[in-house]
Amino acid sequence: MHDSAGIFWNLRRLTPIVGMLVVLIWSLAPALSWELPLVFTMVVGWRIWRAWRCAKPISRWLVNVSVAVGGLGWWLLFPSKLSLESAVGLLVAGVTLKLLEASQRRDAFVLVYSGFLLAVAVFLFNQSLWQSLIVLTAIALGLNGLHEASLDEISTLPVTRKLTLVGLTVLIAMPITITWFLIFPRIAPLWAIPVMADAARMGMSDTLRPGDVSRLGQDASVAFRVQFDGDQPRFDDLYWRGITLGRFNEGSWQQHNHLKQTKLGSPPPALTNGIVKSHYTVFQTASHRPWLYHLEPSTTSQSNVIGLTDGTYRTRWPITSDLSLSYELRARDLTGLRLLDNDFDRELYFPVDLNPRASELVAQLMTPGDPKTTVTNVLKWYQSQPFVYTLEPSSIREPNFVDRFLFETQEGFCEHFAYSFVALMRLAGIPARIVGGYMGGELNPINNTITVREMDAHAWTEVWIDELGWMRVDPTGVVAPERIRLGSIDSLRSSASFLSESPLSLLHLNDWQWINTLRWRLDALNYRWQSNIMSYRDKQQSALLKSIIGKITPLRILMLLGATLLLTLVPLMLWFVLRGSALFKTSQQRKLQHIDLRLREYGVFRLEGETLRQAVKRANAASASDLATLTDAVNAFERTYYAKT
Amino acid sequence: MNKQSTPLSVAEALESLILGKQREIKLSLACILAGGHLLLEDVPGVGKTTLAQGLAALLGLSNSRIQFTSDLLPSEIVGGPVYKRDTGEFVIHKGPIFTQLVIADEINRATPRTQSALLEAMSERNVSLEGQTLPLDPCFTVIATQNPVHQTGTYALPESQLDRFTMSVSLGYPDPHFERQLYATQNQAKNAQDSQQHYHQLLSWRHEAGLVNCTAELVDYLYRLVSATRRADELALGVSPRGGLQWLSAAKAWAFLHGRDFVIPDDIQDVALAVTRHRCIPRQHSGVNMTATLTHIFDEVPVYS
Repeated sequence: MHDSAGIFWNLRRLTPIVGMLVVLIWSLAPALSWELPLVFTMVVGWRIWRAWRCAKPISRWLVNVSVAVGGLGWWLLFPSKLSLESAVGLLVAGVTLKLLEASQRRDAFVLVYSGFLLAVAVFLFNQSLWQSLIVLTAIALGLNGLHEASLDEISTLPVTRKLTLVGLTVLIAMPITITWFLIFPRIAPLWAIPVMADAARMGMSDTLRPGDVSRLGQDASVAFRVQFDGDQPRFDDLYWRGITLGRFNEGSWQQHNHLKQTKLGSPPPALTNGIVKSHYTVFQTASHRPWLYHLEPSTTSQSNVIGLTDGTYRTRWPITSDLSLSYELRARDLTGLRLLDNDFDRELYFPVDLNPRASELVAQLMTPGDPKTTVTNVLKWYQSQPFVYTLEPSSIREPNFVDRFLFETQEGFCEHFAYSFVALMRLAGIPARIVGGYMGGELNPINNTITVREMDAHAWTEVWIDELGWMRVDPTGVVAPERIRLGSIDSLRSSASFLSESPLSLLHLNDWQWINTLRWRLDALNYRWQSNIMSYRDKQQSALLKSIIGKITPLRILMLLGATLLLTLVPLMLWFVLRGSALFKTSQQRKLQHIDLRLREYGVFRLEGETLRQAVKRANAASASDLATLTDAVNAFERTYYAKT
Repeated sequence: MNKQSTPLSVAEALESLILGKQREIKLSLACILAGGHLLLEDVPGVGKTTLAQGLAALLGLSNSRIQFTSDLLPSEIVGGPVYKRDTGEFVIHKGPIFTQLVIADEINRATPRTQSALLEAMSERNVSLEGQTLPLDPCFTVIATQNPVHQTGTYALPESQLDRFTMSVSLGYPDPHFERQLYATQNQAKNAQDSQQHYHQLLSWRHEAGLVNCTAELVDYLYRLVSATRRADELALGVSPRGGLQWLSAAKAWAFLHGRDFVIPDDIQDVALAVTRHRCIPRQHSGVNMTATLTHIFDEVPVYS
């Protein structure tokens, strides 16, 4: 027989717990698949229906069948079983099954505690201010659910009182939370749990095949934010380099294998020897890629950052949580420029026979021995042709992509132009490579940060010229100069697919100045959160800890932790002890305690449901006079507290 | 009986009629002092009627006795119109209910229709006859006796009707010592001598009992006891608000009976079983010891908060 008054059969009591789980699991939906949250929501609906109908708990065998089905579903949904997503998916599946079978108060506690785990999991994927506020709401719901579950009947407390209870619980936990936040080691590999490949859909990929970057133009989510300390470069100089693609392989451009190493290297001296022009900090969101976006030429003294010979930087592990990196922007230093024979050959390879018409064109345009003129000629040719910049070009699947694009379709976007331009350069015997990254960004006038979104993703090229080194050439800028001059928001907005993957973005309302200001303000707030709280790691951590405890030793960290616990728990315990002590008692409670103590002298421990008279009757071991004094005391107690005043 | 009688002296006088039942006698008296109706539940022959008649006699109340049988009609209780041949008109004949103390013997033998005629009068304290509302005596009290329900040919009183009795008291067999004493005296039926007492004395006692002080703390204790019966898993039905109110008056009457003008927790506990036992319904219908169940529930409620 089930307890019909139980928490799972009362909608009002069930609401906070289920609300917490729904909020958290849907927060996880973008990172996982949509299937799990949908199934969970169905189970919630079913539970509500059962509660409404006061139906019996689900039968044992049905639970077993559901566990089997759930396990199978999880197995099919997550091809890579060792990824972060699959682990979180397993947790979500477990919570779903628990909700399915839940019937006891214990189950309610289990659900809320699992909810706290889910809250942690949400932060593995998204650490923005808004997400944090949503998680906070969910935790408040969960704490209220705990309170609700610990009662026997519907809580009759008013909402304000419930909120106070939740607030008090959070308040008690706050000091130790802050201390843990301060001292918890920020070990990169700990967070670098393998991530499913298809989840890393944001940003650039390390293979450029025509059509890959197109989706980025439709996504308004933030890739990174930049704060300059000193002069900002001109807008059309904001080429955020991420990765170079120099290896041509079966129709697509890829990163050279030697650049995929994770040993600490060093960028070429040409990029690191120039004088420092300004400093800037990049706050990168979790991209699940190791590439670090920066201007060229920049240096960084950050540990864990690997400088590669192509002048790009990367981390050892894919970036799975928000990361802040500071760079120095330098002037180009042209002394000692040299391209190794090895690299020279590598950056020249392109099959000659694939695109006969392109080879013909190159033969017409190239000036042997003068690469600079050749580049200019080719760019002039691009300008002379009726190329159309569009995010929805007709797709070209043939191996002779360059010929088809240059002479037939003549429509495309950055990567088409970069692809074909590098091909032409290589055919002309000039080393060239594609660079993947972001272009421009939006300046937030509130806090002077630059927000770079996924739709700012861009591909351009670099060509090697002997005295000048790797020179940036952006063929897109020749064909569609407004894309470079105005940035993605203003140049792409007339396009039908603009922000089609971010239907709720405030960017749609860009025309309205006050909405823009509001958007900037919200963004500035989010930036502060990200730069101060989420990017608190390594350096900031040790600096702050040093200012608190002097020297960082394990003992001192333990002492800090202990001190926090003492400062929180001792007053709390004191309050609990004192509340039961004479200090906080009414005179009646004191008198009662006094009589109870005297009863104990005769071996009588008064029970809760026992009156004083009944207890005195049990004290038969007492002598007649003792009994008389006891009775007198009880009579006096009764007269004092029950008689008419 | 001297003129300066107290409730306690009435109780003592009753104890000489029914030997060894001090507590039950006091409870019955307290029930009447609280202005409530009393239900005596017992097997035949243990002195239910003696107690009822003794109470009537000692308190100086006029009384009538109705033996309930299955063919008893409502009009035989409340009365009805009677045709007078000499005047040729109908006059209202008042039934036996128009008295101060009604002794309703074996109430569960009558049909539900007849039972409800009495029980309606109990709660409303007046009777409607031929469109006329006739008030009952201010001292109107019913002492009903009932044989245990499982005997054949009985109609169990429904819960709503049982709720109108302030207390149910069960006398039970006398202690062996007293039973032997009873046989030795050859049942020299001691009938209570009519006391000199006037029923006005009862009215003033009731008034005083109503003035007994009960602190808010004790009212809270009473409420916690009542709500414990509603929450208890063992019970399908707990004590109603009406039951709680009657419990409070019974506790006050109990305190008054013991010469106090204030209620102490013991008063509430002493009358607890008599007030609640007939109001609660166990979840399982057989093999339940109601007294033990309720005692267990009440023991869990802290007396002093």
